[in-house]
Amino acid sequence: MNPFPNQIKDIFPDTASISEARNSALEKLSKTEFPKPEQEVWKYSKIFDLDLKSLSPSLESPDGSKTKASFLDIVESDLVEISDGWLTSGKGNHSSGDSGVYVGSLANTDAYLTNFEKHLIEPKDFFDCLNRSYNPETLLIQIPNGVTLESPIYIKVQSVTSGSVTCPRVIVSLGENSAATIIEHHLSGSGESLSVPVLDAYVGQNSRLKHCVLQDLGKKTWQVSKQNFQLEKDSYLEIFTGAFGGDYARSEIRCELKGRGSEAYLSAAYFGNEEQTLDFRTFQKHEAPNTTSKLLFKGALDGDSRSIYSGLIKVLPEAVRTKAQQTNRNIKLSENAWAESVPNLEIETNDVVCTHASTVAGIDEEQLFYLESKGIETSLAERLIIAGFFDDVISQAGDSLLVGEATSKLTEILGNRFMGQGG
Amino acid sequence: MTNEKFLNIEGLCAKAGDKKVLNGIDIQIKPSEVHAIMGPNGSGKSTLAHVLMGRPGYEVTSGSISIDGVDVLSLQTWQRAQAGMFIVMQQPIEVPGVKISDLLTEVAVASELDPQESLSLLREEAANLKIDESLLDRELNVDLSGGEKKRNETLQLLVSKAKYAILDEIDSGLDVDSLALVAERINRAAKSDQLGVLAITHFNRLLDILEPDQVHVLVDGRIVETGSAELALQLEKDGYQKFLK
Repeated sequence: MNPFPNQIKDIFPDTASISEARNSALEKLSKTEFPKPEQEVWKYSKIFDLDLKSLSPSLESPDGSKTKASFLDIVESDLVEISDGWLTSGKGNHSSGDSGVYVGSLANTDAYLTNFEKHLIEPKDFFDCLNRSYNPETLLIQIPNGVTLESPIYIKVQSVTSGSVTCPRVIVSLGENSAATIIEHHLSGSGESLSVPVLDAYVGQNSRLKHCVLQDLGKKTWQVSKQNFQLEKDSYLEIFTGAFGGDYARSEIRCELKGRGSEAYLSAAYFGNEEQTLDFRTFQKHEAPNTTSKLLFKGALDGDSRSIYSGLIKVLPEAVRTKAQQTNRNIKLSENAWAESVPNLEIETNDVVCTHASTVAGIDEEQLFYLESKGIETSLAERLIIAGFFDDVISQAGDSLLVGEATSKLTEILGNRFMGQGG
Repeated sequence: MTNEKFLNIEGLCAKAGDKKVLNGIDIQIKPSEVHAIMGPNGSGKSTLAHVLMGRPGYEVTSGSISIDGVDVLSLQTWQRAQAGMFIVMQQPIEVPGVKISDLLTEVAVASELDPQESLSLLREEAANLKIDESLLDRELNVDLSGGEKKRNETLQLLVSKAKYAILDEIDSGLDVDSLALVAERINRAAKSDQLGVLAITHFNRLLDILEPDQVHVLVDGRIVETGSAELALQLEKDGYQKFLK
């Protein structure tokens, strides 16, 4: 079911092949149903409250003056900016030189057609199809064999037009023996909007990718985000999600360990407030022997906010000697806050070490008593405990700009939360 | 309110749930005095320490606790600490992600200590206790050895400028050398800095160094005998048999 008029011919700067892909996505979208409450993958979500009729897709590149302030603005010319799904600025310095690194519009290169297309995951559900149909311009980041990027690629992904459906799309392809770090900041205005970002990342043999997203969307923004990672032999992936904003913000992370010896480390920090719903669905799929994945998602829920963590570790029969972990920890800071945590294992071989754990609890009373007994007042002790709770996942993100921003965001939230209490 | 300075525990009764755990405790600790509490397991020693500090889970049913004439029963835990009480817990709690230095900074701020002064005091006391300064960057009690935990607690006690220290089996988990280091420093704090000490222990090797003025025997939430340091020696020899019904 396509909720939007189909007349988008010649609106987007497509090449022939992109146009073909778009048309096929549109056709698929028209035959794909909107999520239904009985579908397990949408359980606990509030997607059914989404009123698509009041929104419309972004069909023109927004006015440059509408840009939102981001902690990434500091990197200036190196910043890649995606506004309402359009590539509005920055190919950065990464495209230049002889290294063959490409950061820019997919429409301006033929490179990916030969290299990456076969790895792209077919659009499956409604939001995949929506993204493929209405993504104006795709950002392609391509790192050739043997190239290590010295500095991160910073991407500002913003929804600036009220009432819009925005479909940013990023494709990352790392060749063999290469390395890159990508940092995304997702933000939006105060009006209602829906953002449907899709990331497809392919990590070639013996390569390393670090990918971080800090989501600080406006209070009325809905987001359904998808990230697909594919890991080849001996490759290494670290990903981090910091989720603080949005009305309903969902993040689906799919990590396929396809090559022997590949490793993936997934972490997230989230803080829900007021009526927010933060929704995480993860999939650690082990397809090859000696693969490792570790997931640690930590969240705090305040006010009437809700979080959902639902994760699956799947180990195929051939993925012997898999090591997999899945841990979700939640701190509930108010009576009305609600956290659902559903870890799942599906293991088809014996020779594995897999663990999963999940907790939903208030602030630890022993820790609180301990800090208070040192003369630290209750509200400050609570702040210290919560900041400490997030410390490992946030510091794992590594990039100093991102860690700085996530930390100050958290400090701001905790400052507001515990202001003037107990004094 | 009186002008007399002491930690005054008077007729203190408490329960945990429906169970009576303290049945009328009277102890007065003056500045510089060292009091020891001994007793069989389950007699209420740690409970007394926790009730003094206002740990949740206990209800004081009668009696009073005051510091230098100020009632502390109505105070929250952190206020009791700011009023001058310091507890060294038997098992210091792990607080992941919070560095020892973070805690010390917050304590200094809360106590309105001069940051420069408190830093130099910290360095001096760390050296006294043979604590490597790199320990201060570690997370609170996470992956610390028993000795490191107790030396760290002692360091916090000394820089907090507390008036009364409640030591709940500070000797547990400490090797002989660390025990001597910690106990001698606390003894010195009592003698020269007027620290009042309530030391809960099973062992004389701590008391040999702390030199208690009084030793109390706690059985079933009651003090059944009070005596001098001699009493501790006698207990070590004869056990608690004669106090048990």
